[in-house]
Amino acid sequence: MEAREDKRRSAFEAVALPCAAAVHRFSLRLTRDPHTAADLVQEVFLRAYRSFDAFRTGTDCRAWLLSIAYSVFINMHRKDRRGPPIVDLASLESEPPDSIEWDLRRDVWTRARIERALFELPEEIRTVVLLVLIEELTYEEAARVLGCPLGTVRSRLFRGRRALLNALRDQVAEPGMLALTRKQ
Amino acid sequence: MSDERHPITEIHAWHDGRLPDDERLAVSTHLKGCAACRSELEGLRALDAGLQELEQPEHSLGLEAMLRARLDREDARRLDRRRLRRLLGATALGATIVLAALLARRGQEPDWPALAATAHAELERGVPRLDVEESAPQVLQQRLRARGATVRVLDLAMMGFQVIGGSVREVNRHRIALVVYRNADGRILLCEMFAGGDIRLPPPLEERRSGGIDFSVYDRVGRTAVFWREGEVLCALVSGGRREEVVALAIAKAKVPGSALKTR
Repeated sequence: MEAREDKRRSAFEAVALPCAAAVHRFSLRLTRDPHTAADLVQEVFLRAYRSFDAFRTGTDCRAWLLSIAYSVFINMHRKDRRGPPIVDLASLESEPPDSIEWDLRRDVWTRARIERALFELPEEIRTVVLLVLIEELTYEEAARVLGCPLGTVRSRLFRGRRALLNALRDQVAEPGMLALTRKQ
Repeated sequence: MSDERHPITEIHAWHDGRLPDDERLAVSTHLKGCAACRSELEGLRALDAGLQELEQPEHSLGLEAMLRARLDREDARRLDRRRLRRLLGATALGATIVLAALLARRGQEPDWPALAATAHAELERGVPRLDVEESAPQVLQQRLRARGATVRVLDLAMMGFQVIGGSVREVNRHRIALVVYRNADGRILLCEMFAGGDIRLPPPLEERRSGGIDFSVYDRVGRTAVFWREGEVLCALVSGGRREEVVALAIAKAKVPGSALKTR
């Protein structure tokens, strides 16, 4: 029995631990707090380890861990009523197409500004952006992680991108902003 | 979101490679003649590139080391619980065997369905340890037969259950082969085969007949146990799942061609 447990532990470490950085990255940008993110990551790996027998070898372990992370995160919010405020998604509607001429001064899209714009997105939108544009999950994988229809992923991603572009454009328009180069 | 002048939604889909072929040409044509939409597309590309270039957050304590330490604590906890379960399980199994022996001395037949259900409960708790841990049905069959068991190990993978091992027990002078299966949800399915045609079963909860075989269905310790005879061998299937599911599995298992067993 012990030998089987050792084998199980080794298999888990080989498959799951390489995904730790991705889970941490996702958790940190989801929770916006390093301590909460660290707790979340530990809880995710503990749950994954306990239910590792249910993991199907050959499937995407990273997507499996991210789905656990999202589930734990949602449950944390249910317990903690101090969770992020619910944002009316309608408020994220893009501006009329007449005004879509972006100011593409990308040289001022610093990483910090992108992070700031990302963090200001409402949770439902930010989660999809994180999964698809940073973790590079397909729409289908993201839908499975979130337990939502494919169309929801598509529409939230659309809104997220438009909101990010709007936010970055607004930042560029801020008076007195330093013209930093994007790659320093 | 799109209008006749600026097909923004379609441009996003085009950018993600999600636009149907028949619409791609129209969007490509539009992009050539619309500076605003080209600007939108360029914005998308810049945004995606910017997001990809975001820095990997650092974890000051060393992420993997922290997780390994957490797993070590979990392993230690599991080991303690398993030792306790073994102790309790061995006690329960011992008590069951003593009770069966006492009943035999008094000329009474043990409640075989209750014994089977108890064995299933113990297996779910991780005790007792299986004599043979083997996931290949044919190999397990050979190894259990080498231990003197009358057993036919079926491959139930098509029904979602993988064989994980088996044991041979002696209760009331009857040699019993236990074959243990587990499905993806971790649910245990126990198949028992009793050598000897003189085993008497208590009145069942219900009886079924299928394919010329009589099935006796019992409900014991929250589990369903289905018994049937194959020649001189009494077979049982036990699980904590829905009764109909266990009965269906038993019927499917008993119906397999060439299923009649011969006592060794």
